[in-house]
Amino acid sequence: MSNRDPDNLISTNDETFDYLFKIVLIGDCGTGKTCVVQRFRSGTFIERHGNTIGVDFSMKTVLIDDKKVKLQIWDTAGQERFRTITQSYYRSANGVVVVYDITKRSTFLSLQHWVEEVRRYTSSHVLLILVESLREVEKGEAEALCQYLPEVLQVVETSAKENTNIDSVFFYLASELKRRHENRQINANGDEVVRLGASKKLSSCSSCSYKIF
Amino acid sequence: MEPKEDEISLDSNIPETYTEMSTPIEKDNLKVRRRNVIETINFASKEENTSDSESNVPLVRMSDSTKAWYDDIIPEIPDIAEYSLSEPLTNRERMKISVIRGSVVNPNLTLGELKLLGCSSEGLVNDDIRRILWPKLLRLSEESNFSVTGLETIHSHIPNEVYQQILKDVARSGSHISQDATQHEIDHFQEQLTQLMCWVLHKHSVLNYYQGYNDIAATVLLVMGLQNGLHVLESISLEFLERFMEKTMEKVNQELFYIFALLERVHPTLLEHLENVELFPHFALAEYTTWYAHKYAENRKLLHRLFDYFLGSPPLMPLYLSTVIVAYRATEIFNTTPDMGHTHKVLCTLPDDLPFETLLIEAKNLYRQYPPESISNDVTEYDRKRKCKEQEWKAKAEASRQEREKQRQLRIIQSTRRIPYRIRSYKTITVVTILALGLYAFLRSSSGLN
Ligand SMILES: Nc1nc2c(ncn2[C@@H]2O[C@H](COP(=O)(O)OP(=O)(O)OP(=O)(O)O)[C@@H](O)[C@H]2O)c(=O)[nH]1
Ligand SMILES: [Mg+2]
Repeated sequence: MSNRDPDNLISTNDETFDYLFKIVLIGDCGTGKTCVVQRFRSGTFIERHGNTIGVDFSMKTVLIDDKKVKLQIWDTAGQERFRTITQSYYRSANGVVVVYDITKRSTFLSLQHWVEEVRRYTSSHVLLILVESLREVEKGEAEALCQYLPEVLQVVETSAKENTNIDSVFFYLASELKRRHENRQINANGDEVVRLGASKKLSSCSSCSYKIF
Repeated sequence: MEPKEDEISLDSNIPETYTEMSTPIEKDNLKVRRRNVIETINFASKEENTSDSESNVPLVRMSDSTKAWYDDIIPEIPDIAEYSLSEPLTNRERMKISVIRGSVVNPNLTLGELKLLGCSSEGLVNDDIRRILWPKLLRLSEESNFSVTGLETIHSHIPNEVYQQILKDVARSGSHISQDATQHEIDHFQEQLTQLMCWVLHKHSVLNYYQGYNDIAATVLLVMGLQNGLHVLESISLEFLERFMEKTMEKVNQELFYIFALLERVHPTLLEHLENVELFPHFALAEYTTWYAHKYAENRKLLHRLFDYFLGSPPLMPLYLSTVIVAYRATEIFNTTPDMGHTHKVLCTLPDDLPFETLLIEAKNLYRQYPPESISNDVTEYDRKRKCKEQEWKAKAEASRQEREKQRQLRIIQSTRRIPYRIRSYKTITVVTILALGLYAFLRSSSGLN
C-alpha cells in the first residue's frame, strides 16, 4: 500500500538471489543499532526515529562478485527486559553484529555479556562483528577488545551520522559469509570448524580494525 | 496491485475473500464485518438494551454500574463553538458531540455508559472533551487537580539507570510533536515528558519502566498537559500497564499468544499460515504495550480516539484489536513472501487507512464472544510450546558449541603430538650441525697447524 516503505516489503520480481543470510544486531539500548540499519538500508540518518520495541525486520540485497547476496536484518531492542523476546531471533543467525557506543563506557562493559548471549543461543558457525558506533567523536578500543573477546572476527568503527564504514560492515559480513559458504561446499566439514576458530583471526583483528578492504 | 487493494470496501470484496475459506465462525464474523458504520452511532443505546441479557459476560466490570459522577459534580462539556479546532468537524463528529453533551448532563449516568461514550463511534471526538472525561473514566477525584510541586527535581528520586534510560527514550520521542516545532518547544516537551514519567515511577516503585511507556506518557501529556496528566498517567499505569511493568516481560510474552488463540477461532487458515512461517506474535508487542502510540504517534487524531476506546475497555482489549486487524489483513498476509521476516515486517507496519471504527466494534464483539478466561488455557498451551521450542534451540546451540570445543581439543591434541616430533628433528639438525662445525673446525685447525 502506498504509505509503506517500498524497498523491503513484498518485492514482486526482485525475489531472485544467490545467497541468503540472516544478520542480527544486538547491543545496549541507544547504541545506534537502528541508525546503522537505517543508514545501510536507505542511506539516511534520522534522528527522530523512536526506540525499538521488540524486533524490527528489514532486508537489503548487495552485489558481491556479481552474486546477489540477500541480507535479512533483525534489529533488536536493547533494553534488558526485552531479552526474553529478542533471544528467539538469534536462532539460525549467520552473522551477529554487536554494537556499542564509544562514548558510553557502560555499553562497552556490557559487551562480554552480549557475546555470552551469542554463544548461548547461536550456532558455532555464526560470524560475529563488533561495531563501535557513533562515532565521529573518538577512537575506539578495538585493539584491547580483540584480546578479551576472541569470538569477535572484526571490529569496525562506524558513524551512522557521517556515513562512515556502515556499508563496510554489511559488505564485509556478506562477502565473508559468502566465502565461507563456498568453502564449506568445497572443504570437508571438520576443516571448516577449525577455520572458524577464533585464535587465528585474533592477530589480524587489531591490525586491520578500521580498514576492511 | 497496490491501489486496487487500497480500494477494497468493507462491504464487497473482503467478505468474499472470507467466504472462500470460511468456517462457521468466520461466517459468523461476516455479519460483524458487514455492520454498517452508521449503526455505531446508536451503539451506546443498543448496548444498554442488551446489557441485561449479557450480564453474565464479564466484559463490563462490576464498577460499571456505579455512578459516573461519584462526587456529584456534573462536568460541563463546552459547546462546539468553543473548541480549539485544527480542522472542521464532520457531521458524525458533531452528532457524537451532541450525544456526549446530552448524556453527560444526566446526574445518574453510570460509569459503564460513560465508557461506552468513549468506545462507540468517533470516541470522545475532541481533546477538549477528553481533558474533562479521561479523568472521569479513570475515576479520579477532584483532589487530584491540586497542583504538584517539586517536579523539577523528581528525577533524583528514581534510580539513575532508569533515569538515563528515560532520557534516551524521551530524546527519541520526537515523532509525537509536530515536525515544525521550535527547539524551545521540543525542549519543553521533553522536559515535561521526563517529569511526568519520573513522578509516576517515583510514586510507585513497583512499576518498572519499559521502552514504550514514553509513548503512552507522551500521548497523555499532549492531551492533558503536565499537571492534569500526572494522575491520569498514574491511574492508567496502575489499571492497565502494570502487567508490562513487572520485573520481566515474561507475562507480556505469554499474553501475546491471545492473538493466536483468537485466530484459531476466527481464522484458522491464517493462523496455520503464520505458524508455518514460524512467526511469533511479537509483531503486536508495540501495539499492545503502547496502545498504538508507538506506531501512530504522528496520527494524533486516530491515536487519541484509540485511547478513548482502551480507557473504556478491559486491559487485554488491545490484543483483541490486534487479532481483528490481522484477520482483516489476511489477503495481504497470504500474498506476502511466506517467511518469518517478511510476515513480521508486514504485520508490524500498519496502514494508515484501516477502517478502525468497524474494527473496534469487531474487537469488542470478539471479546464478548471469547472473553480471556474462556481461552486462557489455550494461551498457556501456546506459550508452553514456545518455551519448548526455545529450550530446543538452546540445547542445539549448546550441542554445536560442545562439538566445536571437541574439534578444537582434537586440533590441540594433534598439534601437541607434532611438537615433540619437531623438537626431536630440531635436535637432530642441531646435533648434526654441531658435529659438522666441530669436524670443520678440527680439520681447519689441523690443516692450520700444518
Ligand atoms: N552522533 C551520532 N549519533 C548517533 C549515531 N548513531 C546513533 N546516534 C544517536 O543515538 C541515538 C540512539 O540510536 P538508535 O539507533 O535509536 O539506538 P538503538 O541501538 O537502536 O537503541 P534501542 O532501539 O533502544 O535498542 C539516536 O537517536 C541518534 O541520535 C552516530 O553515528 N553519530
Ligand atoms: Mg533500535
